[in-house]
Amino acid sequence: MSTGEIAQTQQTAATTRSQDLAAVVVGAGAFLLGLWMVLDIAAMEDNPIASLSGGIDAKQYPTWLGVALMGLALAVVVRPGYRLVTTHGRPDEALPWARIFSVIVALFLCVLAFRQLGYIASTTLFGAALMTAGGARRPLPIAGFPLALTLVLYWIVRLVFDIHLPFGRLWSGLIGG
Amino acid sequence: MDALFAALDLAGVASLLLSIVVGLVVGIIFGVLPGMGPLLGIALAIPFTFFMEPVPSIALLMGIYQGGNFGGAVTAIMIGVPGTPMAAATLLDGYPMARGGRVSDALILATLSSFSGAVIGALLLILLSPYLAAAAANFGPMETMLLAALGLSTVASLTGRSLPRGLLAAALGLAAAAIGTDPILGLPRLTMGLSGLDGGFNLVALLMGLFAVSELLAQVAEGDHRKAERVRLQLRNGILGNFIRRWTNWLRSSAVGILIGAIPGIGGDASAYIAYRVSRGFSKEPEKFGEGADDGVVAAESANSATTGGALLPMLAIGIPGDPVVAALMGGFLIQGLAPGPQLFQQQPEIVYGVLAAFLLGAMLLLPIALVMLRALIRTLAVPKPYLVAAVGMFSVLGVFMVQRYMFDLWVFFAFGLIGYALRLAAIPLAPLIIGYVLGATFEEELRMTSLVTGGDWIGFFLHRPASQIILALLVFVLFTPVVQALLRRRALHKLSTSTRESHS
Repeated sequence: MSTGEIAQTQQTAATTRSQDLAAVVVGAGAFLLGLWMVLDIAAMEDNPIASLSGGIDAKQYPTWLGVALMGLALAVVVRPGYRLVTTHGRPDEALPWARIFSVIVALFLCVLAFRQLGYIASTTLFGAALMTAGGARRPLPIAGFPLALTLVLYWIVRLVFDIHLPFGRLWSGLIGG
Repeated sequence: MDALFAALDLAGVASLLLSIVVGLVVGIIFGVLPGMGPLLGIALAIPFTFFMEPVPSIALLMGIYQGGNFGGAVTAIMIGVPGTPMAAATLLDGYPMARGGRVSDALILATLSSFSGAVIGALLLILLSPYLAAAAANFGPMETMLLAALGLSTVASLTGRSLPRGLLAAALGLAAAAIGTDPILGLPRLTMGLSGLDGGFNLVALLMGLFAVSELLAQVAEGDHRKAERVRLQLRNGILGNFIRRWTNWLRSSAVGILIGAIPGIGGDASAYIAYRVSRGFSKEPEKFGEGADDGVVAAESANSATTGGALLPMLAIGIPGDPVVAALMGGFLIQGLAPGPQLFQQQPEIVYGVLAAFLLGAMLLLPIALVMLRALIRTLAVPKPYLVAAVGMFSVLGVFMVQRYMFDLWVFFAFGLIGYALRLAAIPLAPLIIGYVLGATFEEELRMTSLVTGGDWIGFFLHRPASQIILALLVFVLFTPVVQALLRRRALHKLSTSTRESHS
C-alpha cells in the first residue's frame, strides 16, 4: 500500500458518515447559492454608469464570487460524496438528534412568537427548552432559572438602556397594557 | 501623550474602569469554559455595547479579549483541555505540572505570564500603532485592496485539515457581504426583494447565529462531563522570586508574541508554540519541556497574551483584522460608527488613544482580577451545562434583538445558527466566514476602485507603488506560514507524545 493510499485509508476511517453527509449538504447548498448569485446578477439590468466606468463592473464581482462558490462547493462535495457511496460499515458518531432538533424548534418558535408572546414569555420558554435539552430534569430549575434570568435582563435593559422589549401583543390585549 | 490624557477625561475614568473590569471578568469566565472562548464572549457582548460611549464600549470588548486569552490557560492546566486554541501550548507543560501536584504553581505562573505579556503587548501597541497608521494614511485603493486580501489570506491559516473547506467558508462570508447594496453604485442586489436585506446582514445577528447558536447546539449534543477540584493557591519561590528568575523569558516570549500577532492570520496559538520552542532553545533544562517545565508555561502564556497587542496593531492602524476574535472586535468598532484605520487616527485621535489607554489599563488590571478570580474560576469549570446553555441562548436572543429592535435580525440569527451548525458538522471552520464577511465589502470596493484608477494597467501601476509591493510580499509570506506553523505544531505534539510514552513505560 502506498503512502497516499495509507493516508487516504486513515482519513476515511477518521471521517464519520455524519460529517460526510453534512459536507455534501453544505456543499450542495453552497453550489445552489453560487448558481443563484450568477443567475440573479445576470438577470439584473445593465447599469449605464457602471458600463461607462471601464473598470470591473457591478456585475462582474458577484458573478466571480458565485462561480468561485460553485467551484469550491464541488471541491468540498466530491470526496465525502464518493465515500458515502463507496464506503460502508463505518462507525458513526451517534448524535442526539432529538435534543438538537428540539433546540432548533424551540429557537424557531421563540423567534416566531417573539412579537405575540413578548420577550419574557418566548425567551423563558426557549430557556426552559434549552435547559431540558442540556440535561436538566428537575422542573423547578427548568422553569425558575430561565424566568428569573429573563426578568432580570428585561429590567436591566429597561433601566440601563431605556429599551422597552416587546411585552407581547397577546398579553397587551389581555391586560390592556 | 496629551491626547492620551484627554482621552481618559473624555471617556470618564469611572465608566471606563468599570467597563474594563466587567470585560475582563466576563472574558476570563468565557475563556475558562471549554468551547466558549473570547470570540463568543465578544459576540454576545457587542449588542450591549451598542448603547455605550465608544471608548468604554471598545474597552469592554478588549477586556473580554484579554481576559478570555488568560482564562483558556486555567482549563488547559486543570483539565488538560485548552479553553481557547491559544492555550494549547500552555497545556504542554501546564497540564503535566498539574498532574505532578503543582496545579497552584502552574496557575499562578500562567497568571503572571499573561499579565506581563499583556502589559508588554499593550505598551508596544501604544508606541507602534500611530507610526503604522501614519504610514497607512498614504495608501491608495490598490494598497487597501491588497491589505484586505492580506486579511483574507488569514483564511489559509484557519482552514483546519482541508483547504477547500476553509476557502468555501471564506467564499460564503464574501457572498454574505455581497448581499445588500452595491458599494460603488449604491443599488440593491441579491436581496430576493426583501427590504430587510437592503443594508446587508446585521453583523451582530450573523456573528451570534454562527457562533452562539451553533455552539449551544454543539454543547447540547455533547452532554456534561465536567467536575470541580479543590486547589490551594500558593507559588513556589513567591511572585518576586519568579519575576527575578524569569524576566528574560517573559520579555523574549512577549516580543515573539507581538511580532507574530501583528502578522495577520498567524495568531496566538502559533506565537505560543514559537515562543515555547524559542524558550526551550534558551533553557538550561530543555529536557524538562513537555514534562512540566515552569518556563514552558511562562513562554506560552506570555506569548499568547502579548499576541493580543500585536493582533490589534493592524486592525487599529490599517483596519485589517488579523484573526477572527479581532474581526469580531472590529465589529464592535463598526456598530459604533467607527472605521478602524489611519483615518480614525487623524479624525478621532481621542477615541483611538482612549482605546489604547483602556487596553493598557486592562492589561494592568488583569493580574489583580485574575488572582482574585482564580479560586472561583476553578469552580466555574463545574457549572452545570443546562444553566450555561440556557444563559447563552437567552443572552443571544436578547442581544440580537436589542441592537436594532428589528424582527428580521432574529430570523437572520436563526438562519445563520443553522448554517453555522451545518458547517460545524461538516468540519468546515467558521472563522474564515467571519473574516470574509468583515472584509468582503472593503475588498470589493477597493478592487473595483483600483480597476478604475489603473485603467486596466494593473502591473504598470503596481510597479510604481512600493507600498503595494511590500504588502504583496507580506501576503505571499502569510500564505506560506501555515505550512511552517503546522510543522512546528506537529513537532511539539510529537515531543509531547514521546514524553508521555516514556513516562508510561
